[in-house]
Amino acid sequence: MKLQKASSFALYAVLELAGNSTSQLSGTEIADKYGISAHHLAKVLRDLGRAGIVDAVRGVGGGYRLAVNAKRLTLLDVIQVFEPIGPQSASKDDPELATEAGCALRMVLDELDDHALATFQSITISTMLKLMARRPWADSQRFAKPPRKFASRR
Amino acid sequence: MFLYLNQESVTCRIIRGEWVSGAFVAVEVSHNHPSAFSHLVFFGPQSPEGGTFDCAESSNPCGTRLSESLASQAKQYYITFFAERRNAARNLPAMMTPITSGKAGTIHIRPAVNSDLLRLIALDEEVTGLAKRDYWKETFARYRTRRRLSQFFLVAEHRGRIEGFIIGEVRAWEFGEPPCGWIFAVQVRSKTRLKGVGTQLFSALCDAFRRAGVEKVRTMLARDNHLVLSFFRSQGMMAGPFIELETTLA
Repeated sequence: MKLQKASSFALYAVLELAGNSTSQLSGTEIADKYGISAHHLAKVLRDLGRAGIVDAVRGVGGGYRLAVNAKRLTLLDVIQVFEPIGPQSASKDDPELATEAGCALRMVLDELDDHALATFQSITISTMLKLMARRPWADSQRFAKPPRKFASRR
Repeated sequence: MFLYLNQESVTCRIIRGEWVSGAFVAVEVSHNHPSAFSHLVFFGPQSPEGGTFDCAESSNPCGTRLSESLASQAKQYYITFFAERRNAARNLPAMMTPITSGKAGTIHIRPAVNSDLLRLIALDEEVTGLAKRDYWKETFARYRTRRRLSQFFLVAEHRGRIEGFIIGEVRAWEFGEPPCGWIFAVQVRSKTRLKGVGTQLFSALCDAFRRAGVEKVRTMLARDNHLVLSFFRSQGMMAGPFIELETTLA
């Protein structure tokens, strides 16, 4: 499964802010670490700010900080700012539902969507930070490159 | 598992078995001479861990009467046997050592005992809003009397009050999988949540599973049970290799 770029960028930003809760981080710092467009990330951070998930700290040395409790904020809360997750109700006029094959396929896809919704809804940002600390992918061939370290801000 | 204890001229041994109504534990007792008859002395469902023996029956294929002396020896052996097992279990630090939680004070994780049943029923009713007395009586009886080394019913106690519990057991070769620990129920009083009680219960049960020799712990729950799903996720659990399937029977 792949998320839209905006959703992924938002999660990277939120995880960085949650992992550095005592200080604020700029969008540029986060973009540099993840090798992503600073311009695109700035738009994402603005949307997260409107959703009340992050706060912008203005002035010299300003940046962003997490505005909510990481133990309560779920992956779904962040992703849903940018894309819908879960079974999407099709209209009665949807040609997909006019055939038996279309209806059967919609049932199967809804099953996958239900699982995705439950998964994202059950994982908080705090749980994600614990997962990052455990690094269960370290022995997996699937994740070949080592993660980049984030330089601490003074 | 059989143990032999010779007290004077008497031999006792523990007999375990199963019959339709459930498992039983009995003491086979006999005098030590060739023509002596042995008696099988059954003790009631009340646990010997601090409980009383509500009944003791004996059976003997020749119909000879169980003497008071033999009955006494059998009872004493039964008490000694389970007391030793209980004391051994108490030496397991993860289960019996008081655990200090900064937020909830001292929480004591221990195996459930007979006197906990009514409090557990009340806790479950307080949390779920449903009174399930028969269910808990049955569950309690099942987990308290059978296969102690693979079944675990732990409670979290704080100042004499039960704040939560967790139930699990080792299941082997079901669905084609090697032995692993399964968690069937976990509950913490609403006002006591977010203080680490659930984490301590989970940790104690996992320690018990490790001692039982398994390396994996699993559970299953409803997709819309967000609270408990988030709890298990926070303990490091991820989706396993199974898919639960169902259909409606016409």
